[in-house]
Amino acid sequence: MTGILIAVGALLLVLLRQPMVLVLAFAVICMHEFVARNSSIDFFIQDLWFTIDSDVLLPIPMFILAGNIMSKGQIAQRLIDIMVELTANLRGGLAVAAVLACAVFAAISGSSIVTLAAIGSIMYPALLREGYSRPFSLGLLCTGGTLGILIPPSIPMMLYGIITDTSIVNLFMGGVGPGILMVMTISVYCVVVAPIPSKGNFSGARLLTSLRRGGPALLLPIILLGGIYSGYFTATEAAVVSLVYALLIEGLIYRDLHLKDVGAMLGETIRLFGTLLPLLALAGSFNTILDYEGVPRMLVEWMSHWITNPITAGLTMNVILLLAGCFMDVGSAILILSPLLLPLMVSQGFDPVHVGVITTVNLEIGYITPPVGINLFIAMGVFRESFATIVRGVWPFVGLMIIPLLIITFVPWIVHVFVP
Amino acid sequence: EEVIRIAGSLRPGSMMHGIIQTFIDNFNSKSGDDYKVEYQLVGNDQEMTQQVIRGRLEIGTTGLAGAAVSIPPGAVLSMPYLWNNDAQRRWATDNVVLPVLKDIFTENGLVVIGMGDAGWSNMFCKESCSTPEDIAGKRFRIPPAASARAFWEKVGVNGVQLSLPDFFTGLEQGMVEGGDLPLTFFVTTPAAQYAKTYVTTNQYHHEQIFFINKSYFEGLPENIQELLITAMPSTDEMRRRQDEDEVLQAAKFEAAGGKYILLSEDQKKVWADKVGDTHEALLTNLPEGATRIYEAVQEGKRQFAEQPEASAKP
Amino acid sequence: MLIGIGTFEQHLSECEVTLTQPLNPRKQDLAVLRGIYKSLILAETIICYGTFALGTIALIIDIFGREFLGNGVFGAQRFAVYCMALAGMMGFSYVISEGGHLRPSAVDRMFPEGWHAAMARFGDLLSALLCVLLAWAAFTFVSSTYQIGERDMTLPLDLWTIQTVLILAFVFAATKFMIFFIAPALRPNDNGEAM
Ligand code: NA
Ligand code: NA
Repeated sequence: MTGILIAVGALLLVLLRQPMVLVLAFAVICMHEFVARNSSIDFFIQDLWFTIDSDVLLPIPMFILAGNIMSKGQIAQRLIDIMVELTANLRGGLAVAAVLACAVFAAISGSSIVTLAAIGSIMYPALLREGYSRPFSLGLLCTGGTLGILIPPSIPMMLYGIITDTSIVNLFMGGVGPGILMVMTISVYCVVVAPIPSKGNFSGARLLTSLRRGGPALLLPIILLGGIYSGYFTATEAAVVSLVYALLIEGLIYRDLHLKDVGAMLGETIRLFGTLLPLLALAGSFNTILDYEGVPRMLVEWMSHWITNPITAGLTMNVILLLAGCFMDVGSAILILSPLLLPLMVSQGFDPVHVGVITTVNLEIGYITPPVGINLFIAMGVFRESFATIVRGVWPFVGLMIIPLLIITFVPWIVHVFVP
Repeated sequence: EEVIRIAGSLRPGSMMHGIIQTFIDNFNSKSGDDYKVEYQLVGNDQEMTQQVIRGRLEIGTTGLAGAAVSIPPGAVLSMPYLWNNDAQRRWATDNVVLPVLKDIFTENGLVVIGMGDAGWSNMFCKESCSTPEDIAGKRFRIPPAASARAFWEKVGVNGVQLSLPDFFTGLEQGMVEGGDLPLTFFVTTPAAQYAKTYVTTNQYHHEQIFFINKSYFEGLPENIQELLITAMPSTDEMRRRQDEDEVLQAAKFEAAGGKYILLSEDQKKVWADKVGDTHEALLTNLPEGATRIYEAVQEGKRQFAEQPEASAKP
Repeated sequence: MLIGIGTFEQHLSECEVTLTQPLNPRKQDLAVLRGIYKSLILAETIICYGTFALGTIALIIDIFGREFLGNGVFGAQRFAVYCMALAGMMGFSYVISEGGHLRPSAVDRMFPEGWHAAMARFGDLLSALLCVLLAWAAFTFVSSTYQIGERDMTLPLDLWTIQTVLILAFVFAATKFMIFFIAPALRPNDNGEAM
C-alpha cells in the first residue's frame, strides 16, 4: 500500500516535468518515513551529509575538471590522433583504442567512475565523430570504465581485503589475469560487431608525427602510472597531479588555454558535480536503508539453502552479487556481503583471493546494471545523454561480461596465475 | 519480538567482535522471546555514533577516537603521553575518569553500558626503527586526529594524511615508511605484511566504549535495562581478553617474520621527552567538557599515587 | 526503483522568456522577482566557484608541499572535502537555473503540448514544497548537530557551520521553484532536445 502511494507521488512529479533528483528524493524520503524502521526525513539529511562529507569523493571533482581541461583543450585531440593512427588497420579501431585507453587508465585509477569520467569525456565525442552510434559508444565507455576496479589498483579490492583480512597485494595480482581477459573480450567484441570498417591506411610516419605532437599528453598516463606504482600517488593525488599537469601542458606547451577558459571549465565542472553529488547521496541513503533493514543478510540466508557443491556455490554467489550490484554501490555491497559470503564459499573450497576477485567482477558489472548503476548516472552527467539511451547501449555489454565472469568463477587458474 | 541492534565496525573474528558476541549470547539467552540483540556492521565509527545518538540504531561500540566528532571531549584520553603506565591508567580511569566520561556521554543522549581496552597506539615502520632519530624527516602516515598530529609533528616526521586503504598500499609501495595503530588491529591489516618492525612507543591509548541511546534505553522495561548492563562483559574481563589477544597477536606477528620491540620505561621516556607537553595546546581547541575530563585524569593520577598498590606496580 | 520508468532528458538552455501565462505578475513585480532570482544565482556562483577553487588550491599546496618542501599541510584534505561539499550542495541549487538537472521526458507525449506549461508550473509548486520540507529537515538536523556539539576531529571547526549549506541549498532551491511558480517567464526552458 505504502509502495503504491510512493509510486503514485513520484509518478506525479515525473508527469509534472520535475527534475529526476527530486523525484528520487521524494521516493527515498517516503521510504525513510514509512518503510524504514526508526527512520525519518531527518535521517535522509544525515545520510546526505555522510555522503558529501567524504574523502573518497575528492578525486571525482578533480578528475572531472582535469578531464574538462583535457577534452576542451588540445590534449584529448592529440591523444586521439595517436590512437587513431595506432589502430588504423583494425576494424572498429577507435572502439578498441577506447577500451585500451580505459585499461591503461584503470591501471592508474582505483575507481570505475573516475576511469569513465576521464577517458569517456575525451573518447565519446571522438567515437561519435568516427560514426559509432550513441548507444554503442555509451555502452562501450561505461563498460570500459568498470575496468577501473578490476585492473589494479582497486579501491573495492582494498575494502574487501580489509573487511575479510585477505592480502590486498594478492587481490591486486589476482585482478591482473581477469583484467586482461576482460579487455580481450571487449576488444574482440568491438572488432566483431563494430560497424566501422578498417581504414587500412596505417602509416608509420604519421604515427611518429602524432606521437611527437601528442608526446607531452601521452606522458600523463606514464607519469600517473609511474607515480602510482612507485607508491607516490593516492587516487586524490593522481587526480590533482593530472589536473596540474593538464593545466601546464595546455597553458604553457600548447598555449591554448586562457584564464577565461578556466572559468568556463570550472563552471562546467560545477554543473556536472552539482548534478552528480545529489544522485550519489540518494544512492547512499537508499543503501543505508537496505543495510539497516537487513535486506542483504536475508538474501544470503535465503540463498544458502541450495549451496551444496562448488558449482551451485559459484552460481549462487554470482546471482546474489549481480542482484546486489543492481541496487547497491560497490563499497556497501562489499562491506555488507563479503563477510557473509566468504565463509559460505570457503566451505565449498574457494580461496579468499578468488572469492574477492569474483566479488569484484560481479560488482564491476553492477556499475552498469540499472536501476542503480553508478556508471550510468555518471554517463548521464558526463555525456548529457538520456538514461534510456545509455541502458540500451549497455545491455549487450552486460551480457558479454557474463562470459568472462563465468570463466573467472570456474577457472581459478586465471585468478591465481599472477598471484605470488 | 523486538530486535535491538548493536552496531560497530569490528570484523567477525577479531577479539573485540568476540566480546560483542559474548554480550549478544549473554543477553539473548536470558531475554526471553520479546527482545533480541543482533550485530549490525557499520563501517564508519563516526557515522555509527551519530546514528545511535539520533536514535536510528540502538547500541554502538567504538574507540573514543571513533566517537570524536560527536563527543569531542573524549579526545582528551588520546592525548600523547597522558599516563605513566597501565596500572595508573586503569585505576584512574575506573575510579575517577569514567564517571565524568559517562556524564558527558549522557549529556549527548548516550548511556555508557561498558568499557574495555582497545590497546595502545604504537609506532611501526618498514625498516628497523626504535628511536625518534631513526624516523626523523621520513614520511609517516598521520591519523586524522589533532592529538596524533601533535605527537607526530613533535617527533619530526614528514606527515602524510591517508585513509586506511591508501595507507596500506602506500606502505607497500614505499610512499610512507610507517605509522601508528594498536597492535591487535595492526596485525589483522595488510600493514603487518609490509611494516616489519613494531615498537611499543605507547603514545596514546584507546578505550573501547559501549553505549546505548538514552531515550530508547529509558523506554525499555526495567528487567531488560538491567539485562543489557549485566550481559555486558565486565571491564576486567574485557581487559583480560585484550591482554591475552596482544600476546597472541605479537606472537603471530613474530612468527610471520616481524620484529616486535618491547621498549623499556627508559626507552619510552626518550619518546615522551621528545614529544614534550602537548596537552595545554590540545585543550584550547576542545570544548569545555574536555577540561573536565583532563582534570579528572590529573585527579585520578594524584589519587592513584596515594594508593598502597601504586608503589608495588611499576 | 522509479528510475526505470521512461527516458531521461536534461533540460538544456538558458533562462528564456518563453511562456506567457494569464496569471503572470505585474511588470514591476516581475522586475522584483527577477532581481531576487538574479541575486540568488550570483550568491550561488560566488559560493560554488570560490569553494571549488579554494579546495583545489588546498589540495595542490598540500601535495606539492609534501613532495618538494618536505611537509604537507595538516588538514588540507579535510578542508578540501568541506569545500567540495559546499560547492556540490550549492551546485545542486545552481544547476536548477541552468536547467541542468536530469528530467524524465518520456511521459511528455501523453499530454497535449498546450498543457505542458501549466503542468510544469504546478510541478514547480510541488518541487518548491518538497524543497521547503527538505530545508526544514536540514534545519532540524543541523540544529541537532549544534546541540550535540559535533566537531571536526582534524580542524578546529564546529560541524554545524559547514552543514548550514544543506539548509541554504534547499532554501535557495525552494525560492527558485516558488519564483518559477509565480512567474513562469523566469523558468529556464526545459523542452530540451529529443534524444
Ligand atoms: Na584500477
Ligand atoms: Na547496478
